[in-house]
Amino acid sequence: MHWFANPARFMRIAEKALPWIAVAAVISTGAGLYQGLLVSPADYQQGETVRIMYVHVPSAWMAMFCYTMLAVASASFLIWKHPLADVAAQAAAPIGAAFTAMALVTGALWGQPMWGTWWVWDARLTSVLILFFLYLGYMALVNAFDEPERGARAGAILALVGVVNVPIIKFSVDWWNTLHQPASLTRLDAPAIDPAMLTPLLLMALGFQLYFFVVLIIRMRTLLAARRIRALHMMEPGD
Amino acid sequence: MGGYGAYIWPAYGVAAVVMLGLLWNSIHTSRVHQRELAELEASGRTRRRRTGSTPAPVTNQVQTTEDRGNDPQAS
Repeated sequence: MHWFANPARFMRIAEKALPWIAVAAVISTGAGLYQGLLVSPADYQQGETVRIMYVHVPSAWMAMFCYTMLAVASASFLIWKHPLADVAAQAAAPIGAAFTAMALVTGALWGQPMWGTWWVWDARLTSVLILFFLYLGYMALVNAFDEPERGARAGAILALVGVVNVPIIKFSVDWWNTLHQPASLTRLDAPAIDPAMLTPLLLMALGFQLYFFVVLIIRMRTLLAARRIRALHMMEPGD
Repeated sequence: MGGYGAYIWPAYGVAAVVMLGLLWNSIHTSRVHQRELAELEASGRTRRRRTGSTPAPVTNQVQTTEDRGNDPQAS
């Protein structure tokens, strides 16, 4: 990790990897869309609406992954003062918020035909809505201070407090009664999903994960440039 | 889509709009910042050249008494 603590070195490697990750993201998402929309069969109970799963489930996975990364990066920033950790956290937050919004909207679009309602205040849906507000709160808090260092510290503390919501989201379908179906993939026994549906689901999940890295690198580059611009302005005579 | 197209296509549409929108916003903001940084660094170099305070390599540099007299930072 210390080897990557040099922002210039990290960005040099990331910039080289960026086009390859972008190409892999396009290929993976393209293959996932083809499999999900054209090849995979309709579900015997849910019919064609099961195709919403190929965007809804990867979005929800990414929403939780981004927040976990946000919390780990925040801990690295607070404990070890890793110079890239707060940049990574601040770059990941809007991506996580976007994935959470996607999970909520696509979930509502799946819920209406299957449950007969767009929304229900049960544990799974409500905890994901809280996750969305945690992302918004983090972004607002980080930018609420004139001194960026103080904003980063306050945001990091909020991110760490909010991480308790991640296991609540994961296990909410087991702990409380809900309309939401339980986990089909991450179970102790074999996944309860047919390979014809599992393939597009995993391809889309891989595509979303790679997309995350593409946008993360671009946003980290922007934040590092903004940090350098601030430093140059402070060095200017008469400022 | 078995009569469910009104739910399936908007789900994919929302995902596409959000993901492409965020990607576009990230690229655009990055370009704006890179441009501003390049301009600032260029103007900084020009100013340093004008004021003659371009930081020269310190190693193996021998300052004469005359040089020190012109340098306000020399002790």
